[in-house]
Amino acid sequence: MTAGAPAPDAAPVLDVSGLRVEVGGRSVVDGLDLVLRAGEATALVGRSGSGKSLTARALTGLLPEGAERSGTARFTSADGTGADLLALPSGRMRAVRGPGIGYAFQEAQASLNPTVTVGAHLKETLKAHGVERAARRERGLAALRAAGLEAPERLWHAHPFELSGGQAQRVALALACVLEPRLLIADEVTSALDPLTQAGVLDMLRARTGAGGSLLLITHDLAVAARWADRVAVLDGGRIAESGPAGEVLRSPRHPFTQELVRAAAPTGAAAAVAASRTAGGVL
Amino acid sequence: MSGTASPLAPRAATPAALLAPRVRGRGGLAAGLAVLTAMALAAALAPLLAGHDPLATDTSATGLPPGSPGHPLGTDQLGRDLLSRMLYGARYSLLVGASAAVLTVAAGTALGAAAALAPRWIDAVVTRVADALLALPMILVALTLAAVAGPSPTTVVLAIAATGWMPVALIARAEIRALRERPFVRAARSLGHSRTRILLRHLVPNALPPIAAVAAFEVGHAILTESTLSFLGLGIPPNIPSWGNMLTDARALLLTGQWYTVALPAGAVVATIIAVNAVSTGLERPGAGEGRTW
Repeated sequence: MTAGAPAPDAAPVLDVSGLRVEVGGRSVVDGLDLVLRAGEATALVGRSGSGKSLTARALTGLLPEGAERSGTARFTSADGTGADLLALPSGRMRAVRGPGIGYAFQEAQASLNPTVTVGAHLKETLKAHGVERAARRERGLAALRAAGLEAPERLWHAHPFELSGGQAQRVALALACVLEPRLLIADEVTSALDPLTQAGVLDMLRARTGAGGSLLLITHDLAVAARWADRVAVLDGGRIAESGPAGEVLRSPRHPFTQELVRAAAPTGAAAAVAASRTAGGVL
Repeated sequence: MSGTASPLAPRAATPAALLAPRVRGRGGLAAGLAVLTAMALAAALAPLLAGHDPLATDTSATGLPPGSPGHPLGTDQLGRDLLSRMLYGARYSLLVGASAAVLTVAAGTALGAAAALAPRWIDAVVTRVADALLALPMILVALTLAAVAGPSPTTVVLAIAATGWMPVALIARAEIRALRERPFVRAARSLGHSRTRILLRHLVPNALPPIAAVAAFEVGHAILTESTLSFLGLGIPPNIPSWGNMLTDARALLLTGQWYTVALPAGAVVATIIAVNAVSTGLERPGAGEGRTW
């Protein structure tokens, strides 16, 4: 299922240290440290409202009005140049968004402009990053195909309201991936999908790390983290409570909060079963 | 899938093809469009349709009722042909009304967008000025402007825009502020789109439906204000026929049995406003969900 464990010394794509986010004077993220490596999928788990999405939005400069951030987040581009995302001027940050960091949001349908067709979404995004006109349609169609949409030509002229939930999610992912970002942040992208579609989408996202991309899966679903992530970071009280290889953290959690989280997920049996199957697969 | 007509098959994007599904099954929209088209055609073809010079007086044919030979709608007190005056009047009234409405909506949207997105002090200036103008009687402001600049069609257009942009700006500002936090705007930012692009492609088009509702009201407001200012002698100069000037000329005749001299221009103003409102209401209700309005 998943790619072989990446080399532990793989280059960090994003090195976050001491990230703090305050919303209206209240500290939500409080000294978060996180390293995301090339070729690796990291799951950021935690309960609802623990600040998972706010962390991702702070890193990409997309915080809501009235939220403040501090700390450092060193991002290394594909060409090896590094920069602190939290200190980048807005013009350079704009160049990072898209080809550097792709961001797929939880609300797929709502993250598409209702007045703009699927094709126009893709073409305009490619245009914003200087892709020449002649190549835009082909690249857009290729991204839709890679996101698991068969016959993407049929969807090219569709408006978002004409898409099903699963199609909208795949279009949103295609859009986040169309510039082939070095780091893809997938924020609860599969929460609203049925298990089969969910698996298909996550397999597709996971495959991206094979080409040296880095994936940050934000989820509250431990089963998803267990099956599709190499590493798990557990967010509690605005900090990383525990992090490490996915199997290890979820099989023998050390931090009381992680233990609680794993126990809470256990009654469904899904997390345990999937964790077990993954471990078995790993052994084979 | 292949072979069947999919609703997602590529569509031709000609104006007619885009408009047809919106009009179908919506009588009000079709009727409104028909009335406006007819009026615009009548105004454009006035020289061909009018049998007389709208300014030519004829002392041998004063105060003729509708249906008189050679004067289908009758003549006024100076013997001028009412049909010709209505047709030529439509040119000024519709042109002034439409350009004033376009200017009002464009200025209002631009100021509203600036208030929503620019630094706080610009927001403060725009909203305070709008509040102050809304508190003044509109006709007083228009009268002052018309009196200072002298009566001319351009003055009328500017006076109407100067007194009408506030509701558009306040609605645009509120809409754009609300849209800024919508997921698709955040998504556009996350893809590295520029501020200008996000404003023009994502914020303004999605703020348009409520603005369009006010815009229809602004067209009516513009045509009425043109009539009012012309009626008061501060609008379109009296030697040019316009519906407002015709009302001015006819005001003394309302109670003398020549009611049609008032009813014709007044009816034209009312019909135009109703037609514009019908079109706006028709367009507001998209056939199949959000996003098909435009």
